Amino acid sequence: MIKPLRKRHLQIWIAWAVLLPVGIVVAYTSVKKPVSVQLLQPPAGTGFPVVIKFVENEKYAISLLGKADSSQLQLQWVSKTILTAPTATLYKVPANTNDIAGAVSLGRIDGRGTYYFPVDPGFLRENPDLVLYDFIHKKILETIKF
Amino acid sequence: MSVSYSAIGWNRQKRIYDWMIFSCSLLYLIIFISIMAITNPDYTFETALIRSTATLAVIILHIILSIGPLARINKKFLPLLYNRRHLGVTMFFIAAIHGGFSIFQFHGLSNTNPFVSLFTSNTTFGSVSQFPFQALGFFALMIFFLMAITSHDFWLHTLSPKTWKTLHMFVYLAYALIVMHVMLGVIQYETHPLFVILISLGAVSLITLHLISGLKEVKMDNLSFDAAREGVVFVSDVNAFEEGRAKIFCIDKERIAVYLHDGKLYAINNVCKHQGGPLGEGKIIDGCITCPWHGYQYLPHNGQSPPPFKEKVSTYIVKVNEGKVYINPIPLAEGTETNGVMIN
Repeated sequence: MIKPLRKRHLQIWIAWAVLLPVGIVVAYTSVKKPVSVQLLQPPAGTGFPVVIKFVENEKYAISLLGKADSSQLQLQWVSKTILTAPTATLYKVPANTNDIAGAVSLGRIDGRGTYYFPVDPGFLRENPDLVLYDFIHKKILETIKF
Repeated sequence: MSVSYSAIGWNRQKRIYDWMIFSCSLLYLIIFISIMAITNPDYTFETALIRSTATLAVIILHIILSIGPLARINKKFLPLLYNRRHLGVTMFFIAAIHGGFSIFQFHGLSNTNPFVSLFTSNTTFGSVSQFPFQALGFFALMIFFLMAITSHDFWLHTLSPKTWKTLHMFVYLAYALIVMHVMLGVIQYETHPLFVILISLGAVSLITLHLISGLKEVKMDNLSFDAAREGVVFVSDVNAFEEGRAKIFCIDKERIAVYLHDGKLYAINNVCKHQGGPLGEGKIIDGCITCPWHGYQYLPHNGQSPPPFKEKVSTYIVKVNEGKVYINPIPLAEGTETNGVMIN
C-alpha cells in the first residue's frame, strides 16, 4: 500500500471509532421499551355488601349492589369469558330503546375480571337496560334487561 | 499476471479455499434453519432464509475486514489474504439472497413496484426507532455488487489501480451502513441484548484491529530517513537481514524493500503494481520476490516480473561498507538491472 492509501485507511477507521459506537448507542437507547398493560378502568374496588338485583348468563354476571342504608348504589360486572371486542363500553339506556345517542356511559370493560361502576340512587326507579357497545365498530354487543 | 486474462485462474489452493467457503456457508445455513424450524416452527422458510443469510453475511463481512489488519499485524495470517476477494464475492451472493427475499417478502406482494415500495413505504427519517433501515441495507448491497462485479483483475487494469482501490474502499462505508441497518432494524424488534452485544463486539474488534495496524504503519513511516541531508542513506546493519526475506525502510516518504537473496542485498520499490501490496512483507519464492497479497512476482535484481509477465517496479542501488547497509534513495527506472551487493 502506498502512504496516502495507508493514511486514508487510518483516517476512515478513526472516524468509525467515533461514529459507530455513537450510532450503536443512539440506536440501542431508542429501542422502544415494552409498554406494560394498564387497564384504562380504575382498579376494582370492593363491592357494597347488599345485593339488590342479579342477572347472569354464560359470559357475565351483573349485580346491583348497595350499602346497608341504600344511600349509594353500585353496579358490579363480572366477565366470565375474555371479551373479543376491541372496545366494549357499558351504557345505561332507557328501557326498550337501545338508544346509544341518549345513553349514559357507566364505564369500559377491558377483559376478564370484575368491574364496579357507581350508579345514582335513581337507578332502581328508572329500571334502565344495559348495553355493551363496541364504539370502534359502532356495534351493540349485548343488551341486558336488568 | 497480465499477459492474458482468463475468467479465473484456478489452482488447487483456490479450489480448496472456495470449497471451504462453500461448505462452511452451507453448513451454517442448514444448522441455522434447522434450529429455527425446531424452536420456532411458526416461522416460514423465507423468514428463516432471510435471517440465516443476514447473519452469515454479517459474519463473513467481519472476517473479510479483519483479514487485512491481521495480516499486517502477524504474517501468519497472510495466506488468508490471497483469495480474500472470493470471500467477498461469496458474501455478496449471500447478502443478495437476504436482500432479494426481504424485498419479495416485505414489498413484493402489493401493486407498487417493490423497489419503489422499499423507499416510499417508510419515510420517517426523523425517527431513530422508526428509521427506514431497509434503505441502508440496500445501499450497502449496491456497494457489494459494484465490488463483486469489479473483483476480477480485468477491472483493476481497466479502471487503474487507484480508481479500483478507491471504489473498493467503499466497503468501509458499506460496513457502517450494515451496522446501522442491523441496529435500526432487527435490534429495534428483537430486543434480546445478545444481538447488540454481538454486533458491538464485531465493530469494536474491527476498529481495534484497524487502529493497531494503522498506527503500526504510522510508526514505521515516522522512522524515515532524510535523503537530501544524508545523500546515500545508512539504513541498517547487515546482520539484521534474513535470507529470503526483506526489511522495509521509509526514505523521503517512499518505502523501499531490501531483500537478502543468495547472500546478496537487492532493493526495490515496496509497492506491488497489482494492488499496491507491500512487497517487503512477502518472501522469495522460486527466486522471485512474491507479493504477500496476491502472489505477484518480481525478480530481485531488476524488479521485473518473470517472462511472459510485464509488471516492473523501481530498483535502487545498495551499498555495504563495514557491515553497514546504505541505500541510494533515488529510484532507478522501473525494471533497471542491478548487481546487488554481497553482505560478506
